[in-house]
Amino acid sequence: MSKTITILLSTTPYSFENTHTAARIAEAALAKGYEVIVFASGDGVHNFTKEQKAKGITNASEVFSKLIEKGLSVELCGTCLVFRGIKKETHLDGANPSSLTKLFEITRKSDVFINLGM
Amino acid sequence: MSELCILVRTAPYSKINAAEAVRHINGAVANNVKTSVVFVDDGVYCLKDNQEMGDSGFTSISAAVGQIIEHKDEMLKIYMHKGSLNECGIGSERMLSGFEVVDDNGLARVVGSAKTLMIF
Repeated sequence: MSKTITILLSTTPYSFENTHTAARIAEAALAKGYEVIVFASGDGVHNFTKEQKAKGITNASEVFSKLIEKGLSVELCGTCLVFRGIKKETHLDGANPSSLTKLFEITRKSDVFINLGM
Repeated sequence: MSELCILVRTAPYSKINAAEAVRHINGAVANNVKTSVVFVDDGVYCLKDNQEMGDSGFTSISAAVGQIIEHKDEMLKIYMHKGSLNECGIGSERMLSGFEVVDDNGLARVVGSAKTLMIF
């Protein structure tokens, strides 16, 4: 049975290196056959909106779209989405609204839990 | 042993962290997660009593934490790091009450015994 790694990402995509770090950890863990979950909380939900145009830095929507295709699970804090006025139609495909209840379910089953915040 | 340790190390208001910590503490309690909360470094400012928000629109973190302390049960333990309180220079008489004060060893024990660590 594969191990589960959960990454709690709570920062915006381009003010911190956390997005790059989360993506690299997720990519490596998926390649080793781990189940990988990114739970985006607070401003971290901004990593999972479509059609970001960033260049010269890890483009959040591009890198996470590719990782979702490779099996990355993405949970978006629903309260945080509403708080920021982020509509469902702007979410990346495969990144869905979630809840604190789901977060604590995930923490219970995770073998590794990584905080990437401020 | 706690399932979850929530480490609060930032002061309220300059960042969202303290408010997010409060939200996650309440979420953990609501979901029956055995939780330890530790206020350390500038996080001890969250426990300063009588934070008056006026018309700023902010939520008073001390009021929110005070309510959590008032309603906590055996599933929730709250700690403050003694060394951090000493460094911030606020007398204990100006702080909330109803939590346990821990030294460095106590801090290490609480953090080290939890399965999951969330840092705010």
